[in-house]
Amino acid sequence: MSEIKKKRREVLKNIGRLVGYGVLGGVFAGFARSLWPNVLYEPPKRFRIGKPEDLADGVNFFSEHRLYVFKRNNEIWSISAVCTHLGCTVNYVALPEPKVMKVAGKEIKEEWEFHCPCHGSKYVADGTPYAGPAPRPLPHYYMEIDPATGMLVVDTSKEVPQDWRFKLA
Amino acid sequence: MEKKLPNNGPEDKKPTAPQQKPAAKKPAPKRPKLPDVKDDPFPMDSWLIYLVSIIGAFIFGVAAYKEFNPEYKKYQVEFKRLIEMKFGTEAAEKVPMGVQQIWVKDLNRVDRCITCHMGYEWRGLEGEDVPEVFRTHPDLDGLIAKHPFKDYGCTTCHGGQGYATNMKEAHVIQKGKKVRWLEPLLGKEKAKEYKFADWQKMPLMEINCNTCHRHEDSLPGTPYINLAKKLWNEKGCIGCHKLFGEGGDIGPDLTYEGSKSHESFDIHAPYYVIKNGKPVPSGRTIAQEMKRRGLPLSVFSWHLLHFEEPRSITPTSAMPNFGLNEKEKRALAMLMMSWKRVNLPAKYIPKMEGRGAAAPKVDTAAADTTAETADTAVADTTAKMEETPKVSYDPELAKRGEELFDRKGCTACHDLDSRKVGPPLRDVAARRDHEWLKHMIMKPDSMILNDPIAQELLQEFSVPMTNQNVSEEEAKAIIEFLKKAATEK
Repeated sequence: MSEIKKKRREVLKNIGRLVGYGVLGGVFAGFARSLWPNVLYEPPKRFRIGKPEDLADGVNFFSEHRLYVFKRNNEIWSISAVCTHLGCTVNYVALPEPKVMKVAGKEIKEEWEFHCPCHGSKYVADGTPYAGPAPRPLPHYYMEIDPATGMLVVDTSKEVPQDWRFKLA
Repeated sequence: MEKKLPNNGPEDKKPTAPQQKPAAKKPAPKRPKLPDVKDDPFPMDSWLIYLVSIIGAFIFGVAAYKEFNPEYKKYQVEFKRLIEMKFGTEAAEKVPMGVQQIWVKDLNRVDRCITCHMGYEWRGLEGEDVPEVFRTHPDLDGLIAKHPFKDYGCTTCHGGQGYATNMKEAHVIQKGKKVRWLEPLLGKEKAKEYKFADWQKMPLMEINCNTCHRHEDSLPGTPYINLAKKLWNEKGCIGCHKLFGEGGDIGPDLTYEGSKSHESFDIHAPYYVIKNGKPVPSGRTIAQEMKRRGLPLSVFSWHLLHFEEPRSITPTSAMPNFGLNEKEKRALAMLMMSWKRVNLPAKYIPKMEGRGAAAPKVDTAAADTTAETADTAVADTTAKMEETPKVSYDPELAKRGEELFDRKGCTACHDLDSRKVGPPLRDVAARRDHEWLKHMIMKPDSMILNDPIAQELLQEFSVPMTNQNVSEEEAKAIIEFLKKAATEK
């Protein structure tokens, strides 16, 4: 076999390999990309709940989003109302007298609690469970002002620590 | 293969294939036609392979480029720049990127229009200096407060393809091409195509208003549909055409005319002209006539031609030529297109005023205490009734009505003065208007599906009224009896 023939065979082989790996790579990239869809057919993770000044002082409940929003001293924070056990909507229970509880090493003076009607899970005011089967605390969500409408936006895709507060200017 | 043959030859020495050996040893004379590749490093076939590879790589590159640089990205970058200019960097950083959509589950709509039309609810972009694509949606506090984006999306009113993420497909631009989406964008371009005098006001959108508001006599902001409904009553269309089971049998039922497939309109049938009062073939088809007039080939154009002269489309048609002007033709064609069969969840069915005198005018905020408000509304009208106590009635008919009231079994559920299964009917004739009573007596089942008052009553009494097969005459008599009862308190 001539040198030229050999060389040509090498070139063709390399092209073949390149195309083969290229196709494989493309297929894999496409597959990987499909795990992060552009959009989903589900309720949006970000939704507006109205103007911050329209919120009542104290507790606000948004049944459509199953969310408690608290407003106090120009601070606003939101706690999910979905029980972390099996997803029932937890009830807001105002305590007749504030009580001091020691939960997870922290001492908390609380004026309300969340009680789940399904299996008796109970959460203290910041969402930490202290009774019943609930495995995790109720998540707190990130909030910001929507520049388009000036309304408060809750982003349920971003969880924030329990002491996170949205501060009104 | 030719390389393997000399190796294989000695290994399997089979007597059956003795010719293989000499053939392998001397391959050259056996294939004299193959080109000599000895000195040419790149003969024709390898050029072909290179060419195909290069084209493949190019197509792959274009596809990848398109994937990462979609049409909407241009708009989003431009919008971000606009926001930065108008409201500062901080606001611009919050502009979302990528495909944006409004998902309305109840109406089964996914509208990605806002991927490009990003300023739709951004206050402060109303001005003429803002490019039209980014401008704030008009009337945010009026129309949009009643029809919030999150409950209606965009295409419910505007038409167009909500799933699409490029302009050509979303707006259904079909110049020169046969793109036949059933839901085109009902914007200025479409109105211009159909030669609307006021195309800039996007009149075709009224079709979609009337999909939900079809039972109202008139609706602010829909001049064409209102005109068409007026014509419908004036010309007595109901004499020949059925609408929700009511009307004549001479013409076709028009209840769901707008949902008819475009294939049920034969635009390649001959078009007739009227000569000496008789339809004569014009030598053109309907489609050719549409083209001659510069109209798109569509169901809407068919309606326009048909309203102009029904016998030019169907020579045997009994429908008279009503001498409609250009505006009236368009109005009626829009009314026809709007009568669609749609599955509307109850909350999308508009509350109608004027159907039933006691339609409570309450804020939506207070509307959830229905029973209470309905009661107070009734109390209000009773008070009003005492001021004007005279309800006139026909005593003859009323007598027959009283018989029917008994015979049809109304008394099983209704008493004049006390609540039984259904409400007391002593002053129902003062509470509700004649039309409402007639419908409720004749077709309570469809009233419960369509009428907000009937739905509220069902909530309160929880037993739906049954259809007792009452004819229109009988219903009239019963109403006269109820009117009589109202005066005899």
